[in-house]
Amino acid sequence: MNRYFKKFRKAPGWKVIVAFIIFQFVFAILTGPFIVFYGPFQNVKKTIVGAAMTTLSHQYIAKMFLSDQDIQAILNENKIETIQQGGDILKFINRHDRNIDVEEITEGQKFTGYMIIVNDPTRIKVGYTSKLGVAGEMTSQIAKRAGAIAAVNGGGFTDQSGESKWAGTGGIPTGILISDGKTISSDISNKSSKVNVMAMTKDGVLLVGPHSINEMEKLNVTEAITFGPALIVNGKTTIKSGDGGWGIAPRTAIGQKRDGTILMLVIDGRQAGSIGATLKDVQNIMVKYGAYNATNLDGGSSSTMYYDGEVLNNPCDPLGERSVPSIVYVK
Amino acid sequence: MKIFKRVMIWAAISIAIQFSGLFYINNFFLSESTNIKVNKIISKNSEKSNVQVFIPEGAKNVSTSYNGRYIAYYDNGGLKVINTNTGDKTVVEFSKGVKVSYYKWLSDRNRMLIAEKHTSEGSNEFQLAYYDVDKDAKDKIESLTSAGSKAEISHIEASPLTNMIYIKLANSDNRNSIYSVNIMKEIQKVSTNTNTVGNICIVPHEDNLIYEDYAYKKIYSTKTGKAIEIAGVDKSVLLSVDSNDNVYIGELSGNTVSRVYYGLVGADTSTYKMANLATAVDSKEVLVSNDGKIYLNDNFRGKVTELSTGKEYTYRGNFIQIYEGGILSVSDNQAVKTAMK
Repeated sequence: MNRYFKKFRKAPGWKVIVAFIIFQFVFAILTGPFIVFYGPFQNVKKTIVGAAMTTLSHQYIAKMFLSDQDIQAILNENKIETIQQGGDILKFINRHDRNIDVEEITEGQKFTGYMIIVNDPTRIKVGYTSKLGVAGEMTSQIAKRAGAIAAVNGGGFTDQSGESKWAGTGGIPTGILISDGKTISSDISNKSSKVNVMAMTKDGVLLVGPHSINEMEKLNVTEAITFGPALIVNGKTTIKSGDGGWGIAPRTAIGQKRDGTILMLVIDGRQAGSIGATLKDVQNIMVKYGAYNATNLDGGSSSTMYYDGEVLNNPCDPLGERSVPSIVYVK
Repeated sequence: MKIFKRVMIWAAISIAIQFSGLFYINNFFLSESTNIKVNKIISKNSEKSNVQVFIPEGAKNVSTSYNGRYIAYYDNGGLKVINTNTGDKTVVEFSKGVKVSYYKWLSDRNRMLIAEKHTSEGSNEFQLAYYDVDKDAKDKIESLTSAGSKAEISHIEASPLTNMIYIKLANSDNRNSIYSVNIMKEIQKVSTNTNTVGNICIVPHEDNLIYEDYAYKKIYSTKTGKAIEIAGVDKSVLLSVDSNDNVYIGELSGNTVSRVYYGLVGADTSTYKMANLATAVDSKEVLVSNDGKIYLNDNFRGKVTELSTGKEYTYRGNFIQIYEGGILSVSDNQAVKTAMK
């Protein structure tokens, strides 16, 4: 008799819990969008609008709640300004100090990363895969072959292998690739059209943002890859508001201080303990380190930092370090 | 009234949860300021010489990473990894109810893929994970498929270049199926011309798997969906695919291989080169290195012979495998590394 009653009394308890869960679920779905779009959480709102509007099929998510004007205003906030570096480039006295520092960076639970600080900028070179056009190589492979002390991944590539999307082998670089004064690969036909680059002149000056091939020839560029956007140009930041609009991901970036010192940054992402960083985060770190010029490099699965025979960070692909067409290394 | 009160309380809880959640995301993940902490790194190095690596009697599935630095094996249901430079031993951790179904070293880095079998209440599910030994980091890649209790993952092939992973699932009735996982972690069942799939080899530079039908002794490509046929060869066995996309096919006479044909995957097989073996051997004794050298192993005499040059390498004990630059064998429960060249 007793047991029967116990069982009987338990049943409504469970029902209430199930009802509670269902209620919470339904109530959150009904009220959630209103809190997001009309509540006080500006960063959440901007991120969702940005993410929705960059797709073709889910723009309705933003359009259902906000007028086109509001959406446009939010999207404009995330715009990255283009600042021309111009021909009047940074001047500094290079003491050819061989010092290299490696620092680990952590931002709470959000991300971990590494910064390599190279005092002599003329040691910065561009390396590339030995199987150019066929397959990329790991950052560490290219770095080891070049006898590099440190390296980060560099430029972007075409991510396609025959019919299979996403199966690209990193063999075909996009844009221009100049290494040791020689143009190794280029898909830019117009020598006066400007593309986002990361380039080093003979004297170790870092060029970032849009530059034409003619311009780079004039400035004695010996190393270059195509990637962007520039984050700091001549001491001015390019992301004034918003997060840069590229979302949160693993990142690679390079910068230069006024005294010529090179800063190479890699941030891990898409893994437990390190979700990744926005372009704004990268810009903030570069500003904090005193960068006068800085640019974003290829991020995501490609982000890799090599130092003294080892890969320092944890590249996010299931198979680990990804094959890339080009790297930036320290000779 | 009681119901109304309850709904109000629940609604308040929901609003509170949503606000606190959004507050956290808004001010933490999406904050525009970046507050970093910086630590200087001092590099560490702890290599010892003359390290002896003990392999226990019951160790199963002994294998070494691509450069011979690490040795892994199963022992008492666990997966152990030993650093041959330092002698440090790591036990790969698994949660309760999880067994290792298969593990495989990647071809160019000290990282392995592990197929885990998760068993709960009579249902079985396979999960794919990676374990990076250099970083001592293990993470789940994706849940694969549910399967019968006797099913096991019997082979994994992966190309770090294309980021494709292929998995062979062996069912209890000797029938196999193949699944692929791409970089976006999308899983697909691969259509094959047979369900008696034997050896499988991934092509490094393109999304293509070469597989063998062990019942009919034929070799197929998933890219073309067609058989790779060599004129005059009736029965063939898949030996290997090297790092330059060359496929190595053995001609079977009975159960042994007497000739090896090799050439670029996708090329006309009439252009394939042929190598004769002095004596016919079991296909397991024909080894192909990543850089495309063919070796013959003779475990009885403890010798590995390079086919093209006739150069011999003598090793002690039981042959395990070749790696970049050497041979791994086990003698008196000790791992022995014999350099080649």
